[in-house]
Amino acid sequence: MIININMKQIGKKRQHIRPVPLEYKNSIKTIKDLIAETVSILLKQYQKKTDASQSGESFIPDAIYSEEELDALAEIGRISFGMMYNGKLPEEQNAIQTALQAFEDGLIRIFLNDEEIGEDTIAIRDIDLENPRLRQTESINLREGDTITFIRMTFLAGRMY
Amino acid sequence: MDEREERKIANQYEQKLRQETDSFIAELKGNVKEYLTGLHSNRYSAYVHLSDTGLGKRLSSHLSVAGAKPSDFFRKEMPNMKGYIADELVNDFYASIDALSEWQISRSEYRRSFRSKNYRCYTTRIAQLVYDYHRLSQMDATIVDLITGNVSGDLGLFCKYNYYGGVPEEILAIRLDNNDSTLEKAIEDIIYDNNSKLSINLIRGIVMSHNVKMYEALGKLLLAARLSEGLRQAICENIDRGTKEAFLYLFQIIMEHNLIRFSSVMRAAGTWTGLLTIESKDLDRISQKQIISGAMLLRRYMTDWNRLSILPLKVRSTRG
Repeated sequence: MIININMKQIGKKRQHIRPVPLEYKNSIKTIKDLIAETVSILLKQYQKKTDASQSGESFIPDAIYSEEELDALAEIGRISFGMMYNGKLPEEQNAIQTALQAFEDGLIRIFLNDEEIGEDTIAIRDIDLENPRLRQTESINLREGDTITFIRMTFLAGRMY
Repeated sequence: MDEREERKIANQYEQKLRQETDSFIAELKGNVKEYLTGLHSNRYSAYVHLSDTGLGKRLSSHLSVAGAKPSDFFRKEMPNMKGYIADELVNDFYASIDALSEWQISRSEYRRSFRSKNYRCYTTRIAQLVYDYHRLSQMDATIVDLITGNVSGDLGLFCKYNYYGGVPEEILAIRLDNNDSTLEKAIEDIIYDNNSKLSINLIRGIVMSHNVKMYEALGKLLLAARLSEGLRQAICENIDRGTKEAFLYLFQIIMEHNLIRFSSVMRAAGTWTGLLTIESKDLDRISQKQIISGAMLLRRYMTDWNRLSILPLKVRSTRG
């Protein structure tokens, strides 16, 4: 099914967040499935881009920027051409594990059509030290055309005292 | 009332406490008077000289006898300073000074995780506890009230601005060892429901005790820390500060749940093993694997305590 993933678009005057349609071939029953599939699909896209860069099909449309796009890229600090110089791809299982761990750690939060899924609601008192509950096993109900947003959080690195 | 006025009241209250102490000490005689005057005159530099006082010397020679306990010495001295430490706190005081050999020798930032069976290494900490118990005796509030912030009026303002560090962790540790259920419940409520009252002395008090129920609560908090690297850092950097049991329990949690993936935990493991310094650039040079092996080695020695020979530490001065 086609699921839209909200992605930040750079290179526009105002930074838009636009839904980008991705095709999910496998069935998605739990949050774990969602994350694993998304990582898999995006890795394949990355792979295609890398192959394209390496095989010499260098004139990818991304690589030619307008004045406006150049300004926007300069603002974020780095102008790059979207070409993949480093041919190394992350290994798929590792990438999926990292993404799942990031989700469990609260580094990534997921919203399905504006409502959060897999929210961390467990009270500290109820945590089971032997067998902590994994939120990724929660089931979700995805329908054709739904929108998913992944939000990456930052660690609070201040002194506690 | 604005902050300036509040601080003024807090300072006045502190002055009042100091004057009460000074008047009390003025009525004392002999060695005790000399020792306590030194302790209260200028707290930090006085430590160097306390070991040279009559009482300080007698304490050192008492402690150089094998098997001698600090509490035996102070039980004999207490009649000479009756009222300095409140009657209801005196037994906790004796227990705290005897428990010192399970805790680190130095409280400073540059501390190494050394402990010693030789109490002479701990004379500075004994002096600190004498002072801390006296200060606590002067305050008209229970320990639970103090840690939950349930104090009002001038004392409340003193606690807010001038009671640096709050209730000393040694006192909390002894109370937890005595299974003081009111204190246990108060700390559990703070950990589980109201983190904002959680402070470093509570964390240290827990790891310095033998109370497994408290270790469990702290372990759960560590797992639930999520984005709060600061909280994780505060807990992990203090778990080598207390008893062996606390370290092993919490280290087990860290290894089981692979918490070493967080940089705060890795840095903490570096501080326990002494592999990392204050400059964070060392963090890049040392790999995670090295830190883990260092910590595992630590655990091996801790579970087989007798294999380690403790080097006698020559303490020239009582400065920590």
